Formats: sequence, structure tokens, C-alpha cells
Amino acid sequence: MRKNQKLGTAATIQSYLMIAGSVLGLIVFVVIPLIWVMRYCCFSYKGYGTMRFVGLDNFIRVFERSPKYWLAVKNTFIFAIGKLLVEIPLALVLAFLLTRKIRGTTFFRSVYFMPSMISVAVIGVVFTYLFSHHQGVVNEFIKVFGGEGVKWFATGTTSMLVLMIASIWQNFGINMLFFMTGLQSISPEMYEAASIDGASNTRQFFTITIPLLGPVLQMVLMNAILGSLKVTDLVLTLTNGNPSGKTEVMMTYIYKQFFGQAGQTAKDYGYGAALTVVTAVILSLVTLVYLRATKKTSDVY
Amino acid sequence: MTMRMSKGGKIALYAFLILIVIITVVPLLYTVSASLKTNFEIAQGGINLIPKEPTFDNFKTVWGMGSGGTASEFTYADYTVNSLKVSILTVIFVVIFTSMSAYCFERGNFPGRKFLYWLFMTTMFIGAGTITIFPMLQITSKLKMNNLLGLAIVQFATAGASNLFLTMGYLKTISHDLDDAAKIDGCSFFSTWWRIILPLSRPILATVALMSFRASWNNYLLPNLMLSNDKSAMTLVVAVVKLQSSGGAGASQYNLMMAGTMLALMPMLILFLCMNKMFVEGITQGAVKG
Repeated sequence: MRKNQKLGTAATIQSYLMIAGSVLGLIVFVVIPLIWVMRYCCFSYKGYGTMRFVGLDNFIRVFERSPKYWLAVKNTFIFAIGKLLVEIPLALVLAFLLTRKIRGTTFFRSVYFMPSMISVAVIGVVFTYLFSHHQGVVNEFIKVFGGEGVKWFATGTTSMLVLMIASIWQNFGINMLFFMTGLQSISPEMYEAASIDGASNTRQFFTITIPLLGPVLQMVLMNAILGSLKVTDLVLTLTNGNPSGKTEVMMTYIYKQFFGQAGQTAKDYGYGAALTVVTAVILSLVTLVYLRATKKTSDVY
Repeated sequence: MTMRMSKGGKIALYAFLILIVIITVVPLLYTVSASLKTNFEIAQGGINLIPKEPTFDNFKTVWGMGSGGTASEFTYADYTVNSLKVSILTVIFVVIFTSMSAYCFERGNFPGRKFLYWLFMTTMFIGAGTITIFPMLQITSKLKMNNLLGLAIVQFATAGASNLFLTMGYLKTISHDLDDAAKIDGCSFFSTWWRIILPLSRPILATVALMSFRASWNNYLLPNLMLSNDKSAMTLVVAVVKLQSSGGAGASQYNLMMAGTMLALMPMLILFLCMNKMFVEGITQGAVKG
């Protein structure tokens, strides 16, 4: 941060007053809840009665007696890896094509980006309809081509597939936009020189675009990974973890610990807080590992 | 730049781009289509996009019914107004407070400036979101903030650091000579913001406003949990999801579900069509350059 010149007492007081609103909001709604989670993870508290200090019991429960949570962790990673393997290359290729001189760039860019404007929860509702067993548009198409309707939400695999499709559909456009911003900083002369040397478009993509896009690629991928690992609304509105927990993800599992759902055992906020801490640690570990791994690759270039 | 490509290559390229356009647009087109069909027609199946007898009845029904899918004191018309209220309030809070704090961090010099900036940056990345939503709700209940105004305040407080980033980046491009001139003319620190910085940063604040409007309009989890005890304060997105899960009339009536969905997504799409460039800039600058 830049060092600013001295401004005097009046300016200092005015600064504090001007910044007070944002700071207050931050403390009350972000900092205090974080502290709350840190504190409760060592207590047993059912939301009524007294809270009891239990030390590390909640964490032991997370690691030894929470198969459902670890299934959710596994599902989360399957979801993230599966969808990103399609979404990121697709976004990258489209960005590459749209930053070359072709007609209709603005049109294509706007259309691809459109799904990102819509609420994730609403997309969940739309895809419930599209993939419903009876009347669903997808099954109707399958029938037109002579196939048989699929019960998409009946098995774990197909439910997960629908989640991935919905998420890719919503997010490839926004990632494409990020990549396009990065690509616009690559000088056109690079491509011209490569063209003169006879490099094909495919070759240019791998030898110029990808390496020079390095830093942007690293950031976009980071955001995409964390965003996918934190998926919540889409799962809640599309599958709600069904069938039998096979599409439950980390965030929805924690959410249900706090807010419950029909037919579930009593809530324990202390256990929920411990889950929150463990999940936060998992997310930071992913971040660290990712940053180390990508540092090596960016050193190569 | 040169694009050495055979005619066949060009056709393949456009075929690919258009295929992706179709994949992007088809779900939306069928949403529009289902919202204009009768439930009977949807039940018959088929892939016809154009309804046999297009009707606006679904919209009329949804507009006048409650979230449970039945007649009710509060209807989707009310939910739409609620969403508008919350989103406008959120935009006002975000714009005013982001502008002020960006100005203080960028131009100010007060004890604790670096610490507070650090606090903003770190907590915004770890905190907020689903992870802390439960304790946050306990706080809002204690403060009796479980209403539309409270929701707007929480949305502003948890909006994230990218608005601050964007605005501070823009302030860096405004010359300090203007501040100095204002000071010589007798402007205080605050009135320099009010008279000089605020008007000059209008372009970036417009972007911030648009992004906040989108975030607020589309928000689901927070309004759903915060306003669950107040039927009069439900927002549109929450109501649309209720339509899907309720045992009421909406559950198997895809025509009504899709009409509700259209109510929730049309304003966003229209806004996007009108201010396409601003959205694109806001999103890319906030993430890539931030």
C-alpha cells in the first residue's frame, strides 16, 4: 500500500467516520461469525440447554465416525474435477477462437455469458424440469431418437452428471470471459510471427496462448476450483443430496447439520462448527497444494 | 492479425461456435416455451418448442398466487416487489460504503489503515458464505434484523472485497492534483470525497451497482433462511424454488414453475442485454485484474 501524506486530525476523524459503516458490517457479520465457529467447535450444544466443553471430541467424531461427511467430501471432488475437465478446456478454446479476428465475436461472447446472469438456484429449478423423467425435454429428445427415457435422478451417477452439466452450462461463459481478458494482453505480433513461420492454429494455441496465459490461467483455475468445491445452491435445488447422499457435497452436508432436514437426528452445533473448521482446512490445503503445483509449471516457461 | 484458415476450417469453426450457442440457448428456450404452454400440453411430451396454443395464463396464475402454489395473502407480485426493494437497498449501501472506504484506504492516512485493509482482504476470502451463515443468522435474530432492510445490510456487509478492489483501482487513476486543488479551496477530507471523488468515480460505481444488483436479485440461501418466518418478505428466487419443492399446486405443474422462473430471470437477462458491456467489464476487472 502506498504511503500517503499526513492529513491532520480533522481528516483522521473524518476517515474513521466514513469507514465506520463498512468496518462495523465486517466485524458483526464476518469476523464475529468466524470467531463463533472457532469457539463452538470444542463444545457440544444442541441449540437448547447448556453447552458443554468436550475438547477435541467433535473433531474425533468428524474423523472417525462421519462416513457421510467423507462421502460428501468425495462427491465434492468428483463433481469439481468432472465438471472442470470439461468447463475449463471449453472456455479456453472458445476464448482463443473469439479473440482471433472472426465475425460476430460480440454476439457469441454475449450468448455464452448469458447463463452466468441467472440465479444458481433458479438454474437448479430449470434443470429439474429439463431432466425430469416424464415430460422432461431431455428424455423427450432421447425418445425422438428412438431411445428410452432415463430416470436421471434415480441413481447417483446420473444425478451427479446432471449437476455437472448444469454447472458447466452456467459457468463456461464467465471463465471464457476471464480468459479473453488475459488473451487480449498477448500481442498479435506473436501470432503473426508464428503464422509466418508456418505454425498451425493448434500449434499456436499450445506454444503461445497457453504459456503466455500462465498467470491468468492460474488465477481463473484457482477461482473455478474453489467455487466448485463450495457448490451449495445448485445441489440444494437440483438433487438435495439425493439419492441417499450420493450427491451430497461438503457445504450441503454442513448446512444440514445446522438447519436440519426432515427425518434427521438431532442437530449438534458444536459438531457442525467442527465440520466447518475441517472443511475450511481442506479448502486451504487445496489452495496451498494448487499454488505450489502451479508455481512449478509456471517456472518451466 | 492473420487467420490462415481454409474455407473448410472456417465452416468447421462457425459450426462449432453455433453448436455451443444452441446448447446455451436451448434450455432457456424450453423454459420460455413451457411457461407459455398449458400443463396438459407439457404432460403430452414431445419436443415442439412453439406451443400449440400459446397462453399467458400461467403468468396470470403465478402473479396472483402464493409461494405454496395456492391463493394466499402474499403473491408473486409481492415477491417481485420484495426482490426489487432488497436489491435497490443493497445497491445503495454497497455503492455509498464501498466508495467511502475505497477513498479512505486509497487517499487517507490514519492510524490502523493498513490493519483494517488487511482485515478486509483476509476475512473476505475465508469468511462469508455458507460456512458462517449459521452464526450470522443468530446475530441477525438477536438484532431483530430478519427483514428486508436487514437482508440488504447483511448482503452489503458480506459482499466481498472485489468491489473494494475495483473501486480502489479506479481511484488510483484519478489525479491527486484534483484532491490538492480541492484542499487549497478549503475542502475537508470528507467534502473532497463528496465533491470531487464521488462524482468522478461514477463509471466504476455504476459497474459495482450493477454487479451488486445481480448478486442480490439472484441470492437464494441467505434470503431463504433470514426471512423464513416472515411470509410477507419472501424474495422472488426463494419463492420460485418453493414452487418446485412445495406439495402444492406448483409441484408437478411445470408450466407454473417455468412461468415463475421466467419472472425471476427475465429482469436479469433484460438488464444484461441493455448493459452488456458494463457487466463484462465489471466481471473481468473484478476477478482478473483485481
